[in-house]
Amino acid sequence: MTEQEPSICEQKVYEKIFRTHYETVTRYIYYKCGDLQQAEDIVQNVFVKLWKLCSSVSFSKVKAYLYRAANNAFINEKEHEKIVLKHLKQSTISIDHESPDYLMEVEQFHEKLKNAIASLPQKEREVYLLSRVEKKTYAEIAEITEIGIKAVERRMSRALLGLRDVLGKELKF
Amino acid sequence: MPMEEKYANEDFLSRWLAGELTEEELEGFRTSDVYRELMAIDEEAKKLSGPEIDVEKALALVTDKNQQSKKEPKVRRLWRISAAAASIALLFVGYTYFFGNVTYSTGIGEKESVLLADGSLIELNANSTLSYKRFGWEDDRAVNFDGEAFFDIRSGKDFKVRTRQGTVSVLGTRFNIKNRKDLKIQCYEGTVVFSPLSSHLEPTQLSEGMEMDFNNSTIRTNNFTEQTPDWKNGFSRFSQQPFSEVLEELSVQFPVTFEANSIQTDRLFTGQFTHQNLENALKTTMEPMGLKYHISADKRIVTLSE
Repeated sequence: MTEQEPSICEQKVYEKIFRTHYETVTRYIYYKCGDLQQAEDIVQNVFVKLWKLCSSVSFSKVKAYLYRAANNAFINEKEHEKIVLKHLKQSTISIDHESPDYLMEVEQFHEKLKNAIASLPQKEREVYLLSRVEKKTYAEIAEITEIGIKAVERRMSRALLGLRDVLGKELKF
Repeated sequence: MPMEEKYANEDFLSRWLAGELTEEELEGFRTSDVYRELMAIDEEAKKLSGPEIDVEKALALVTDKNQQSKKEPKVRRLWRISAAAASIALLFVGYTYFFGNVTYSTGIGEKESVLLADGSLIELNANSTLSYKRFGWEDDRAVNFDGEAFFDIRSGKDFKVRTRQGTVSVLGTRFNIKNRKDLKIQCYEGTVVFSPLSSHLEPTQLSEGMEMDFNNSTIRTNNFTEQTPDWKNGFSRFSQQPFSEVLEELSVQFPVTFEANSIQTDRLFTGQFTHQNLENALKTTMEPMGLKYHISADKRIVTLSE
């Protein structure tokens, strides 16, 4: 308990924190606003601020600090109604022996899926993407978004329902 | 479809996600269309990956910004320190200004006149110091003094001169105080009272034409005839005084030190020397005593011999 925490004011510690959290926090904000450039700007500013406040943020709380500060910064920025998740990409899957037709369909379906995710309410969208794309557990998501696990599950189920409403008819079995 | 209603609802799915469904419910759900659809969507969703983010580029950007802004707080912090230092200095200066003393000092061979607020004039001989309170002085006319000076005090309330050896109190008068090794007070007008610091000695009153010597805690009073102290006329006069006092006075008026190893300095000297010129002063003091003197090249050291 009494062990000295590393100081964020040290360049090495700061860089380690940056490398550990920058990408995940940026993605989180991206899932909220759908604008990668804006997300990067927000999170970079959060890190600049962290450097200035390096002596007043404790190392053990830095992750929570980053998510909260980024979220606050996001809330303070206006204009994020039009969501286009154009940076959500399809992971390269083994496509070798698929027919071009099928690939086309998959391509189209992905486009629709992205649109459907983009049109979800922000709170459901971020939970959904943190879970399905970032592969975070509900507990982790609860920690990041600072809501209870129950609320995460509720948002998640609403997101699933919303996606099914839009995409259900597209699916052929 | 009732089945669909059952599964495609928020509460049910939440329970499913939380792993709270019973075996039975789970089995039923897994065979439903809702489940298959959700799984199919999930299947594809899981193939999505987040945006590509160049962390190192961002780190470089942020580090750059940090270094730009890094200078600011440092400067600001310095600013604060210097602001604090300045305030303290200001307070100190203000304090010493309002509650401190005005000090006048003369060096070797210097003379200075000080006019006090009540019109009193104090003429300082060489190597002397006078200080008094800057404010509220007129309510309490007192000066601290060391060295030699001629006081011409305007009549009024009690005026005090504090020395190392005692306090000289006057009403309005003219007098000279010489406080070198011994204390000598000469009263030229009016009366002065000397109260020694050591309490077992009685205060001594001097009237016009009286002088007082105070050494080894004895007080001797004499009469004198001069109208002004000799030093004010530019010379020092001695009558039957130890030669050591002459040397001391010489080194007050001239920036020299004496090397008088083999010389007996307790011999008595009567005579005077000028403050204008070291050569003349030495001539008039050394020759009557039968002494030879040698002035060093930098005119700092005078070596005496028989």
